[in-house]
Amino acid sequence: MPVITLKVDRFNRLAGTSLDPEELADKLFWLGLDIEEVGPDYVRVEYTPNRPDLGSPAGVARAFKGLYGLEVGCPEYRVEPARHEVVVDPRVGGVRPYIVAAVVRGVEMDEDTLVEIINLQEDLHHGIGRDRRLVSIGIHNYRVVEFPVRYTVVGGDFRFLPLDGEREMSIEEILREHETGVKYAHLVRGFREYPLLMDSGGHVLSFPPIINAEYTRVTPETTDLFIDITGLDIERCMQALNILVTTLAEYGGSVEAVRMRYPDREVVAPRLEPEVYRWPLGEFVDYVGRVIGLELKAEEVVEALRRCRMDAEVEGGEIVIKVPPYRIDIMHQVDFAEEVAVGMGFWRLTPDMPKTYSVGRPLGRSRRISAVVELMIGLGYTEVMNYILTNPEEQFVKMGMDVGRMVEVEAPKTMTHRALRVWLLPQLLANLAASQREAYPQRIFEVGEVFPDGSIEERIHLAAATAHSRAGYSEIRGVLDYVCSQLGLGSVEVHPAEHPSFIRGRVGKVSIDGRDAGLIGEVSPEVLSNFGLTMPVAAFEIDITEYVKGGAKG
Amino acid sequence: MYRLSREEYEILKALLGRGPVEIGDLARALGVSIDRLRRPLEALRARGLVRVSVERRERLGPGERLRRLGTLPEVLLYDHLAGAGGRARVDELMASAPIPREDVNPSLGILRRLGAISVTKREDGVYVEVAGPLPEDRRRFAEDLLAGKLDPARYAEILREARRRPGILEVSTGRREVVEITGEGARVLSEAAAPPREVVTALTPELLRTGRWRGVEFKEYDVSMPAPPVYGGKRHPLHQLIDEIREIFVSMGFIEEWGPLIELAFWNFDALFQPQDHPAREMHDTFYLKEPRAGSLDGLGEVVERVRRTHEDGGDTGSRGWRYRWRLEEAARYVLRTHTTAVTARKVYEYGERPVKIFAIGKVFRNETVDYKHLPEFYNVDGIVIDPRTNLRELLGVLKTVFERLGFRRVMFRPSYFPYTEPSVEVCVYDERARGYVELAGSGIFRPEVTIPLGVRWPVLAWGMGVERILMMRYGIEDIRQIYRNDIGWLRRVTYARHHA
Repeated sequence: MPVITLKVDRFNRLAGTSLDPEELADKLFWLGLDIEEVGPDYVRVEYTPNRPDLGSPAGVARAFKGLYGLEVGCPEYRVEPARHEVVVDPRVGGVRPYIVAAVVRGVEMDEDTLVEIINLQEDLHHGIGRDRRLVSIGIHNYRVVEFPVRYTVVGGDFRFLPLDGEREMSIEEILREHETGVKYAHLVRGFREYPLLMDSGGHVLSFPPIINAEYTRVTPETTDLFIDITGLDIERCMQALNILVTTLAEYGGSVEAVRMRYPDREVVAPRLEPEVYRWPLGEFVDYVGRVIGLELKAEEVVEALRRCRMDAEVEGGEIVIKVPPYRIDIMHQVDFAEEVAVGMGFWRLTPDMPKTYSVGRPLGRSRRISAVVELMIGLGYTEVMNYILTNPEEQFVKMGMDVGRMVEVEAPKTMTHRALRVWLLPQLLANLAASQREAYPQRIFEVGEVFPDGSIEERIHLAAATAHSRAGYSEIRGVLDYVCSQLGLGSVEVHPAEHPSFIRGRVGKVSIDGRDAGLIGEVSPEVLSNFGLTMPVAAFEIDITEYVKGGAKG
Repeated sequence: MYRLSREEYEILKALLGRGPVEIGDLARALGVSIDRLRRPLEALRARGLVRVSVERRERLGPGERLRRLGTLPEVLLYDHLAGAGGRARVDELMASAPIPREDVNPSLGILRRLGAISVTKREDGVYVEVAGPLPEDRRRFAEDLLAGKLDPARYAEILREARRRPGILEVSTGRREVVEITGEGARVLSEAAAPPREVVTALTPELLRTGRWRGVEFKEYDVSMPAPPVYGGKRHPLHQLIDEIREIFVSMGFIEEWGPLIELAFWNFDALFQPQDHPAREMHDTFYLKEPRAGSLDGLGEVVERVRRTHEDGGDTGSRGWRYRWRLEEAARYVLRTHTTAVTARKVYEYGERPVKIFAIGKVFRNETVDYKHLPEFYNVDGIVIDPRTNLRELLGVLKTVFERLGFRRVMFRPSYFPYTEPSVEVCVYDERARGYVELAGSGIFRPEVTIPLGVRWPVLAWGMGVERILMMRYGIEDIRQIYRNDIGWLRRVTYARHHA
């Protein structure tokens, strides 16, 4: 989740407060921000991805002022009529079909503001933009742009000087060599023509969604900005634009619309008028009260919504709520219930207990697993809990077996965790191998989920291993017989078998009531040495799925 | 009180009421050698229960003549006289008596003094005649002396004579150790409940079978000495905590439910109103199965269609929806469930509009790089309350109770966001070690976009939390990997059942 740093001095100026970092952190908590760190002169907070409008100190200050009553109600943003145009080439339809734009003049720019705007831009790219795929944002120095601007396409050999580039490069070179180009090349892979934004003077503004041109670079001295937002989803583009320009307005900027001339229509952006919702007053207040669990008065609801920077008025028998254009998270009536809870102050919500009468019970499955565990503990065995995700090397190769079928996952970040285990014994041996400085005898067991033979059907196994200088078959056989008889699993027989993980002639197939249930034996010295074990180990592993599910007799 | 050993007890008992006793006599009385007495006597002396003193004194033994005669001469003379008719002339007696001549006259003098004979002078000589019995102590004296058990007090008069008579006594001087019980010794003895007994090192089946254990005492151990360590089998600490959490929910009236580890994306994401392009659904966060890639939603019927419409335009939930084209193939993909909310989503669908409280505990998976705070799999607990009248404050009530039962005294709630709940609440508890609040659970009321397509218009409280994090806080574990390392040393020594009261 995205994190921003609030410099406390600067925040106090934006919010009109005089808080120290601790006080600020305590108050931010109730806005729904997660306090990551409280520094000597800053606070780092994490905000939730549904609220990209909190992605800048100005945005946080805007919400903060509302919650603490310093400035309530829906902020108003004036939009000057459009004077400039962006002409959209029909050919962009096949590559990156949408563009919206705006002009913001008179931003109180300095180093800090610039950093904050760029951070917001990056968070918007990442969140709403899904890493620039759906939405990407270009911020330019308005003063150097000659209108109208053309949104068009060019070939891969088209050259310009990219931002932070040392020389003119072709589009193909940028995608191959420029750091940002390489990073985002996958977004335009396979394209024959590339989207490009160019002004009337032939200057390149940007090559979306990859990189801006050096020509329109924004510096701490740039106060007038031209913003372009391109993407695959016009609604998201509009949302990103709203959040960006309303934030710039908080930094003193005045917003001017831009007209986009698509081949078949015109779009004027941004549109910053609030969205209006209406409900019958009594019904709405009752609904919100039921969700929160309080008897509320209309005035309380109105006051709480205003503290969440919405306008709320009672008109006739209706409540009319105006939502500012940067609040892209409102989808349903229930969202207003949450706003009321936040606006009233979460600290004022007193816990209550559900009135539902009910009788609790654990799963039979949990009880039966517990019974198996209890029996093994009674025999002096210590329980281990291992990962379900393992790898074929440990499961098969180290066990002296041919690699068998496993359920594998796609694109694992760690190769040691890439397939679901088929049996437990390999991990028990790894546990013993890692504990060789401990006193012997060592006796361990696990009850856990396995997925044998590449099947997605979950099975439950019990495996036990005893390790000490005289560990042997008869000891572990006694354990097997005892556990099976105590659980009433059925009559146990062991038939001689061959298995590469065990010593020849000292391994058997366990059958319970005539059904194959598992293996028992003395682990082969080759396998022990694969694990680096220098102590004899005897072990068994059986399938207890039917018992755990409650299907076995007994 | 000092506990007497068997020997000490016997010694005190032998001394009680007897005054000073010579150590040899004591040994004889107890039927043991003097050497066996030394250690217990020293122990008794050290505790002031007996007094031991050494005196130098005369020892009397039989003289050469007495040994030869076997008794005192006057005894032999008296018996001789009695055998010869009770009367004899002294000169004849002198010749016939079985004792040396020189002893005859002194013996006659003694016998006369004792009134055993009378002496009569006649013209043909002096006659002696038995006049009375010979006192028994004259006879016993020699017996006792020869037997070495002469009591000098009893034979004071005889001894006085004997000292003057040659060959009767052998007088030597020697060292004499005497033992005497003290007042304290008498008290301790009187308080000793029963006589202590034979000491054995081990109780054997033989002792038990024969009943001989009744007469023995067990050698004392130094019970303050440490013993070699012993390690029992026990539940893994994580399993202990899971059991504890299960017990808490069950006690609060929750029913435990189960769901599969390999889950359809439909239940893991779509049913929870997570849009198909949500970042959490991407492969770098979620494990998708390679093979089989997808399952079938055919059996689910119209719930699939209702979920599709809700995603696309809100359907009949009153929502705007996410406004994109929902794809069935995406929902049919198999994932390793990323949260146990997949289980509770299934249960909302299965139970429908019935007042019920449910929880589920189980493994969940995230495609994470393993480090000290991240694992690719861990345990989750999810819970829901379905009830027509439940609300946000009741959600807080349940969670506050759960975390208090888990030992967190300070629980705070702050607003948050999850795609499937509204309002959404983050549960923060105070961590004594870190001296700050940490987030332990996400919660909220399921959005109508979640519950309505699943057939429930009632509010559904929902929450989920990780288990390992709580374990780490409880045991002060810094590295989450420690929990799954299964280092037997750690498992053996880590405190058992560190439950909150």
